Amino acid sequence: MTDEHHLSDENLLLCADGENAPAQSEKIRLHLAGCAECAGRFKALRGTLADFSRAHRESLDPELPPAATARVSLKARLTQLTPKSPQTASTTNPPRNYWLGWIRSAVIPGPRGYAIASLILAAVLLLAGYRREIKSGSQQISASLGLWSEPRTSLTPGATVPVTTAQLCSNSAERPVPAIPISLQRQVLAMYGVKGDPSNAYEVDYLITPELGGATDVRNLWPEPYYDTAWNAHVKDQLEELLRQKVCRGDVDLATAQQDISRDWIAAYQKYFHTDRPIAVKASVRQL
Amino acid sequence: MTFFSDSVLRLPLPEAASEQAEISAPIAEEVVELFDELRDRLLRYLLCLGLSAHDGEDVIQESFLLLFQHLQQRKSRQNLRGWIFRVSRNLALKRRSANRRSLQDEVKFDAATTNQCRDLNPNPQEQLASSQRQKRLLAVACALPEQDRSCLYLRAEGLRYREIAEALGISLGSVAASMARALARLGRADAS
Repeated sequence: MTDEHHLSDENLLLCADGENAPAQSEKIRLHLAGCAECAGRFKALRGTLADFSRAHRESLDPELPPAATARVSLKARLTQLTPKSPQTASTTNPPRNYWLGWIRSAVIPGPRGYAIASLILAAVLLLAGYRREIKSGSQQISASLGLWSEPRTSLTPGATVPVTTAQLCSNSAERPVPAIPISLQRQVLAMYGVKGDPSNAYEVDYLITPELGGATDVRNLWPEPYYDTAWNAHVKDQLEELLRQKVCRGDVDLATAQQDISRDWIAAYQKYFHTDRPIAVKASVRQL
Repeated sequence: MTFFSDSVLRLPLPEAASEQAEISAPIAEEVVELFDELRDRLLRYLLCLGLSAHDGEDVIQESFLLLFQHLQQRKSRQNLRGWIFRVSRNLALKRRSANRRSLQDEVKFDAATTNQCRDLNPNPQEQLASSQRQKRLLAVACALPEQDRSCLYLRAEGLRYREIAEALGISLGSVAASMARALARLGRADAS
């Protein structure tokens, strides 16, 4: 506890903040009562803590908007999320498994099922044709910059960590996305023949995002362009968010999501967003 | 062949829905109470992380909605203040990263925006008003390593060490060590 005769700074700090065990605090107080030097340090430390806290608040408080509007908004959103009791629930919304009837009819043989299946098949074939055309265009542009919308499979096949859907979906916002160490980023850039450090033009990104169980591993990273190509990092972010939601809702299993995004994320985007080209960023994933 | 599992087709029982409705209303009240207590503290911390007030408000709303879900699902109630700071921080870091990308897209990237330390004295009047000592303390805090700085800011917002540990995902010992380092630097600035 002491440096020969005096209390350490950490002990004084813990005491000032009331973070010591009661018995420990008592010992420190006894020491302070008999040691003018430590008592002086203790007083100065408390003064610094108090002054910093005050300076911190005073420098920021003028920038805080009034809380009233945010409070009203939060209450309204909570009301929306609060389920009504069955007696008072509205009956205007279609039942949740309304769509199941349609899906069932598509997969279960019958005249209506055949018609829907034919339509889906035709749409898939059309999309496949468009995709090849657009993809080749965007890849040409990126290739001229030395950047690729999609990673080279030989260099970046994708790598995952062993994790379950439940682990990924429980409290996903509570886990930070791990930062990619600079040394690893440099390794990835060297593999792709990109000279220099990460710049404004691209970022070293995960192929399979950690939110879908992707590993911080050189096999799961590549230099992804921010812009100058339609299929850029923003577009991939949309896909990652949609896939995460689908996995957590149980619409898509985790292995399929990982496989789809690592094999060809552009194809996966087109498959899950039902589009041949990136949708506007403002079209929120939540709308789907 | 079975295409749909029982769980997919199972409708919520009326009793279960009723029970859910019964527990949700008091949880919503509790969440609003916690919002009243923590909103300013959270927003100040998010400003320190480099978010605008507007983005900070968005992040706080989202965090409290997640807290509502968390409580609705009867998850742990231990250290809720640490929990809400942790979730807000993670959402803020994602938002900051997305904002940075947008700026880069518009070729308006400014190195100052990536600096987590904000302009401490935006106008000359404020400069005159604030004491030299306060400015010095804030400048020293700004130059601290990220973890030490965060510990100091969170402590200034009244969080206990175990709450700071939860918010930053570090051990209690690391919080104490960071605080000791930060205080030593602040103390040296005072002495100089």
